[in-house]
Amino acid sequence: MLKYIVKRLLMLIPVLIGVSIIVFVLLRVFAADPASVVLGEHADAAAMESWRDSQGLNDPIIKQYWDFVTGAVQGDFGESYYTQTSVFTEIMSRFPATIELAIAAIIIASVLGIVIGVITAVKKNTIVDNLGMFVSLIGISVPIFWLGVMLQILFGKTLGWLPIQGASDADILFDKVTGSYFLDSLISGDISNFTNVLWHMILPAFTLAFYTMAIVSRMTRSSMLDTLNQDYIRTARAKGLAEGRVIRHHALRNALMPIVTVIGLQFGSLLGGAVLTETVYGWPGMGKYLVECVQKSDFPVVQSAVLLIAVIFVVLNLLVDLLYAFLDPRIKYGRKEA
Amino acid sequence: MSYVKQANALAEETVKIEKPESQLKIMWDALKKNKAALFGLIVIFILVFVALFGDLIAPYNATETNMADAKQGMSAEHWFGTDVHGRDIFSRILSGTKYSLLIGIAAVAFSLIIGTVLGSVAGYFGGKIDAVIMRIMDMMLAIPSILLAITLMAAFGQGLDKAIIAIGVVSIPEFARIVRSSIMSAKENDYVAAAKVLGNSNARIIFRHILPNVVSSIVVRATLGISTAILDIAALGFLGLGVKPPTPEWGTMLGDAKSYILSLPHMIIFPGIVISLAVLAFNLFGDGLRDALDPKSRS
Repeated sequence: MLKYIVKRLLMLIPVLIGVSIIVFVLLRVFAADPASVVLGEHADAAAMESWRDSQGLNDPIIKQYWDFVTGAVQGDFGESYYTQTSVFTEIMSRFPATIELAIAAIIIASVLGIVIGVITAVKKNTIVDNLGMFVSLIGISVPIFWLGVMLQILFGKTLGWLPIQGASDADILFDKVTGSYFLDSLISGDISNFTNVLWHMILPAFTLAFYTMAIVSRMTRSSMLDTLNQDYIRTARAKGLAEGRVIRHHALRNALMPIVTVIGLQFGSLLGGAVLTETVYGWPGMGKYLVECVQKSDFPVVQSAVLLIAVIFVVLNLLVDLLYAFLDPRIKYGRKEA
Repeated sequence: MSYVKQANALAEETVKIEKPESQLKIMWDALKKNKAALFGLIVIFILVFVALFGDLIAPYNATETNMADAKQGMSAEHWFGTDVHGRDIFSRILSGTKYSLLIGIAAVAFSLIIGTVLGSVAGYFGGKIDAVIMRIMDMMLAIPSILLAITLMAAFGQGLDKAIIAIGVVSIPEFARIVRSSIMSAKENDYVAAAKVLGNSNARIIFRHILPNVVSSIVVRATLGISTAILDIAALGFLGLGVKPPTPEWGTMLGDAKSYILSLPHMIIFPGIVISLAVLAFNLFGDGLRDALDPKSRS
């Protein structure tokens, strides 16, 4: 097993090198010259030239890439064109906020998705089933940022129940220790800080969760329908077990494999969705920062952030694969078939 | 009458050769029973109609500003209200249908063609070519799709053609994978071996003998792919990275409305509803197609 994990980890290296090349070439070869964006359109040619020199943009592309990679390996991802601060520090200070939002969303999506999926499967072809599947269909059809805006209008403006911008109220101050607003507000020891953050998190987390919830509920429903038709379910019922127990312990337990896969794979794409959700809600995470930097051609930030997200994405996918082995004893990785 | 003719006539009479039902007919019969898929199909027809004639139906000019009418709510004159520049939102949605639909369909066509060629080559030849192509696909899949699209737009800049390419590139790996696996299983069949023995070229075997057999699964993916593509353009437009304003592309309309979410909510509500409806239609139709093609669900 260990050998297999190491092998899979080693296989990630060429993929990530490829990703870095793709992103680098896109931004350095195809993109417009960032000098006119950074210095303004009316900057004189000499100033632009010396700026390009200072950023190493006049070096051959191979050397630029080599500098980027050798730096990245040592944790130096370069500096922002605008603030001259370390890209790594900038990204890392925002990263926990994105992860906490994604975790909150995946929890909401898994719980609601599995509950909806199980209920619709058990009540197949009833009005409850139709309603549940209709909600899922809406979930995969509505643009999530638009859903976010609709929730802002409904809960923020019309009802006035929930805050719609940021991760906490402006007058709420607490020390940044971990970078996660959830944890930092807890650490601050003031319960009002914590509830304030929690309050701010509800709409963005639900918005981000909605699409995944739809996918999970559809998957759960079809997986449950498969297992509910199995002989061992009939046996369990014949033994006189309570229906609730049959569904929870016999059907759901066996239906869980594909559901776990989907949840794991969705966590990665949540990072993509976070870009949009954070922009809508002004959530101070990496996604919002990335969009801002794309808009002002801050390429060192863009390439590093995309690379970082790719790393998380492939590692997560690997973890999902490995999780299989623990959930399903029939799968043995790295062992030759007898 | 010769014996041979007699025998033939007899044979024809006893063995009434039934023409096999065409794939298309079987599909249509299954699809007809699926109300949701039919609803999707009808909406798609309406969208295509509006895409073709939207400018003619639209009661107002979609791009001309008219400050006297700015920021109006819903009314009999302006069904969906007007935006900050006084443009009728209903007219903009009608006129914008062609852009959103064109980008969606063209992007899928782009990824379909490139993905099919790459997947065919990888699956048919195998070995090193396969390894190289599929590793490149893995690299593209290592970036969440919307993020890759954003990066591509950052590199290419705004524009209709660039949006098509950016969104198209993102789904190349998916098509390549589907085609590759279909080709790999299809090439073991006897008819491929027979075609080879007859001296057909590799390209001819792929395009004439193998691909027609896997076309149904590709069509399903492509239909569902259009809905994803429409969502992706909407996202790019919303972020201000899609088609340049004042083009009434739906996503760009949402992007324009971003600053007026609370003051002029109708600016963002209606384009969003239309996007959702279009995506829903392609999802329903795609699901219906998949069920119609799946012999298991046919009873």
